This record gives sequence, C-alpha cells and structure tokens, in this order.
Amino acid sequence: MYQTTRDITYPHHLTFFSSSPSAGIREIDISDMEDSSAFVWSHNRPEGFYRSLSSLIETDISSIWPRFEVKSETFIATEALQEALPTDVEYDVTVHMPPKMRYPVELEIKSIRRGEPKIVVPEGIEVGL
Amino acid sequence: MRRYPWYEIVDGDEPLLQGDFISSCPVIIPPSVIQPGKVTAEVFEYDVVIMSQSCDLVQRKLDLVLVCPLWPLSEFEKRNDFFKSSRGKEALRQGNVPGYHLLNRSELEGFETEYLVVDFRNVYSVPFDFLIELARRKGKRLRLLPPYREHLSQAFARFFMRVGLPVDIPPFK
Repeated sequence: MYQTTRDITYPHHLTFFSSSPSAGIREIDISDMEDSSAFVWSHNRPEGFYRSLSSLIETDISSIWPRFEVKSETFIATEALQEALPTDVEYDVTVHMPPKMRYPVELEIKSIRRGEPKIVVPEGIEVGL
Repeated sequence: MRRYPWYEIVDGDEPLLQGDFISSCPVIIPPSVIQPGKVTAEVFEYDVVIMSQSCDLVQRKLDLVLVCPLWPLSEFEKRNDFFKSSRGKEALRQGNVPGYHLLNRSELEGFETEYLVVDFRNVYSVPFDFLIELARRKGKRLRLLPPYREHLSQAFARFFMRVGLPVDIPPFK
C-alpha cells in the first residue's frame, strides 16, 4: 500500500487532507499535484499580489481566524486586480483602422494574363549545363 | 554613453531599405470582377513602413515590396479603449499585442512624430518601381535605424509564425 505523510494522524491536531489510507495511486497523484501547484503558486505568485489585495480588505488578526471584509463598496476592485495580474500576458486585440484617405479611380484593363514565376537564384550558386 | 538614435532623415532618391517610411502610399483595391475594359477601383492611402528585407531591395530581387501601415498611437487610442489604458500601452510596448508593434517618437526637425504603431495584420505589396518613383517625388523621408529596424522585422516574423492548434493539450491542473 502506498503510504504518504498525509495518512498519518496526530492526536490533538486536525488534519486537512482529503485522501484516506485506502486512496488509490490516482487519487494520491491528484492530491499531490494539487498540493504541488498550490506550493508552486504560493512561491511564484506575482510580486505584490497580496500587497494589492491588502488595500481591498480589512483584517482582524486578534483571533486565530482572521476576519476579511471589503473596506469600501465604492472601491474599484478591478483596478487593484489589474495591478495584481502578470504583465507578460499576450492580448489578442484587433483594431480596424480606416485608410488615411480613400477615393475611387477609373482603370482601364488592357490585358489579363497568367502570372509566371520569377526565379531568383541565390548568390554563389552557379547555374550551368 | 553612446547614443543609439531611432531615426535618420534620408533623401528621396536614396535606395529604399527596410524601415523606410513612405507617407500617403496608395494601394489599389480591385473590384470583385475584373475584365478587359474600364473598371472602377478604390484607392486607399496609408502611411507605410517598408518590411521587405534590405538586401532583397538593394539587389533588386523583388518585383513587389512589402509594406505595413503605421499609425500614431493616439489614433489607436481613439479606435480602441484597450490602448487608452496604461496597461494596453504597456502591453504594446513590451511586444505582448501580436499584430502590432510600437515605434518610438521622432524628434528630428521637420519629421516629428508621436509614438507610432505598425499594423502587421494589414500588409500590402507595392510594385518596386512605383515605390522608388513615389519616394523620389516625396523627397526626404524618415528611416528607422538598426537595431530598431531588426526589432521591427523580428516582431513581424513572430506574428507571422504563430500557430494556433485546433486541439490543444489541456492544461495540467
């Protein structure tokens, strides 16, 4: 049986792990990955993430359970969240710009013929017989 | 510290190079049906920057020159709110808006510009001989200098070589 540290319980300590001793490998993998991603995120979170959010919330750390409340309803949360977002995201934005000037012209088409390839020989290559 | 200017001014009869600006370059939009005789077409005029490689231009290995329209940043701001925000402009500056490339302001006397945006999504080919004559008639022009010229070219390549997968690998959560 695959045994992980999460299967061990200690008296007087609450365990917050969801997997049971009978958890299969797949479940363990899933929960391990969840832990791992949470770990990676907590270590690689954008600089200033909490700093930006801290302006949004009121905290009471006098008890063991902190209290979080929105400071003001009029606070524009989107701006603070925008600041917290990473800056190297690609934005797929398209702007349809009209031409600087447009006007009709009359053209006379004299002939229509099929195009022919124009071959450009790279330098240094001799074309011989 | 050495200065690395973004632009220089060149004479109208100087050979065309990548990064040369041509103002009010006409592009003929043909009608949907073409047959011998008289037809009505539309002409669009754009301020453009030459995108074809300088070596191909110097050695006359092209019949058509690739150009991209460019716009003052303020025009973009008017058209799209994203570019009004500092986030949008910053994304543009950092090269995170595929299809568009930001160029610096020119402070050269007589050729002052604001920040300019090159539009890679609308490229046009203009006959080489026509462009040479147009540039000569217009006189002095602005030229983007290395390494900013190569930076522009690279941004165009990055935009053009993008691949969108129809079925992507799902993210690992």
